Amino acid sequence: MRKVNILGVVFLLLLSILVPAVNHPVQASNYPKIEKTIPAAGDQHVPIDTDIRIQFNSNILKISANYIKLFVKTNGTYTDLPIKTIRKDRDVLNIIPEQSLEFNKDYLVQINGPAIELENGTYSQSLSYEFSTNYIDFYELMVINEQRLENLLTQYTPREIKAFAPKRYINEINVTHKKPGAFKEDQTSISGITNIDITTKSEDVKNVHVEILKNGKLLQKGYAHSLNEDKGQKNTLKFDIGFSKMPDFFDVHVTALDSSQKIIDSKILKFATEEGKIINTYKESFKYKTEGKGYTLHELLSKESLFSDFLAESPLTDIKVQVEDK
Amino acid sequence: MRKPLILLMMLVIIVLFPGILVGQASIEKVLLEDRTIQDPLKSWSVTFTQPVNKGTIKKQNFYIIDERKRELKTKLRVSEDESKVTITPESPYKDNVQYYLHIKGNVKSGKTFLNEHTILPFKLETRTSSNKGTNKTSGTDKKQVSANTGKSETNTSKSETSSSSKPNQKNKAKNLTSVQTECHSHFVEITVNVSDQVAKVKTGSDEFEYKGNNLFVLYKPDLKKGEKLTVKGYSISNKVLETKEIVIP
Repeated sequence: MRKVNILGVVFLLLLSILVPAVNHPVQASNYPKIEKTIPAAGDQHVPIDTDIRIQFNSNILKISANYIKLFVKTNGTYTDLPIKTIRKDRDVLNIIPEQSLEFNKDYLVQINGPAIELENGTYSQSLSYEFSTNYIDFYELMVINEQRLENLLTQYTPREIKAFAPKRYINEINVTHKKPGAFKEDQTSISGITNIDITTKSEDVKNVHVEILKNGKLLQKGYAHSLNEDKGQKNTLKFDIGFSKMPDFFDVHVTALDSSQKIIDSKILKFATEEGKIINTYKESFKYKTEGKGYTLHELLSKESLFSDFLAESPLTDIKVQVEDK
Repeated sequence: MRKPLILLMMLVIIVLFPGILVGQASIEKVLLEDRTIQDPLKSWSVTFTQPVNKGTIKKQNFYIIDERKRELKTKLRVSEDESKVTITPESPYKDNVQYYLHIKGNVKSGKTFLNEHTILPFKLETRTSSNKGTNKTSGTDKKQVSANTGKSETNTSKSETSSSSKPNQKNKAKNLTSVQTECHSHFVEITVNVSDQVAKVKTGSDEFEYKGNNLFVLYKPDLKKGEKLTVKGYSISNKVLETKEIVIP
């Protein structure tokens, strides 16, 4: 009888150990938790056009936006990154910042306290994770160190590797150059004058700087003047600058700068005076299909014309590559 | 009643074939170097690298006009392999009158349209009229004088006088000083060094990026080994200063 009692106790003990273990997965799925974050904690080379998403194990019912924060690391310290909207899509929480992510920054996502109410309860744990939008140079992958591209392709598929063309701001450069000499009907000798008009996008552009070079040597330089007359033109700005005593053959290096004097676009144009002409004009207009856009390697390699445009429209050294886990 | 119907049809055509408008808008004019000829009945042949679409071989696309913009009566002939179109005048050219041979950009070669409207100015020279017979030669000294979007090359079917062609050749040789190609995994890098006079470099419709110091670079993905490319250097007024053919290694 005693033996039966002991067996019974052992059996009960075994049950108490085994039953919770068997039921554990069911219990866990009912307990509010995060299934996945995109980007994942510690992710590097995160594409700047990525969405910040957090997937829970149950549908989201209510969000307390006050508990959800985004930070960007600037000069070693984290500063608040304003959030435009926080959206729920079934079990996924989408955090959309006011401004798109920038290259080469560290971002911190934070959820505190009872921020999310799910169908299976309130997610009240604290969550904090970082990701980085650093990048790889396209030029390095494609020209200097092609082995690195091969290595990258062992980790990511062409659909997960994304190349971003830089934004372009210079729309047009127009050079009018008058050689030193006299007009036929005007006997007065006029020294050589060169006028350069530059049209840019109005967005972000504050200043335009022009350098005149010959055989790599800087001859003259200066900031172009903003022309008020062109203010009627929507979305564009017009600048001009004049030089004298210029040679007949020279390079015009134009840079567009933003309000913090950061170079946001540059163009080099070659000017070559034609023989027999006193006044020479040369205009180059720039039109872009790919500027500011991101394309997967798969897209570029499968569409020849797109890849051609992509390579032709941006300096290779300005194209940035990032990767995403799908 | 008919007018609305015609308008409706035009609208339908524009909606269904928007490329008609787009194509026209993007066509660029290329003015080639002046030529001096001695044969008053000189014919011009345009050689394409791919067969030309017969539907686009018409007098609206290949024609000669004089300085008063009067069109000359010409005959068009296409070679058996459809890669060459010859334009022959029905009446002799007049001495010292400026003529222009036009090849319009809506000529189709292979699967694509040329995207350049090429104009070749030429003149019959009186001074050498007494030597006309002796200057006619075989096709061995044919000179390439232009190329359209890499798809065609205009050749004179008969040679020109040595006096007019030699200085040109000499000048031309100075303009594209070196052309180098380097093959990478996914594209070919073409580097062209030019003279001071060259302001722009193109191959077909692809324009090279200027890097400064007379150096132009193009990264081109859609090239195969052994493929031929025609590289052209242009002046600021879009005159072709030199044409060079390269083969992808």
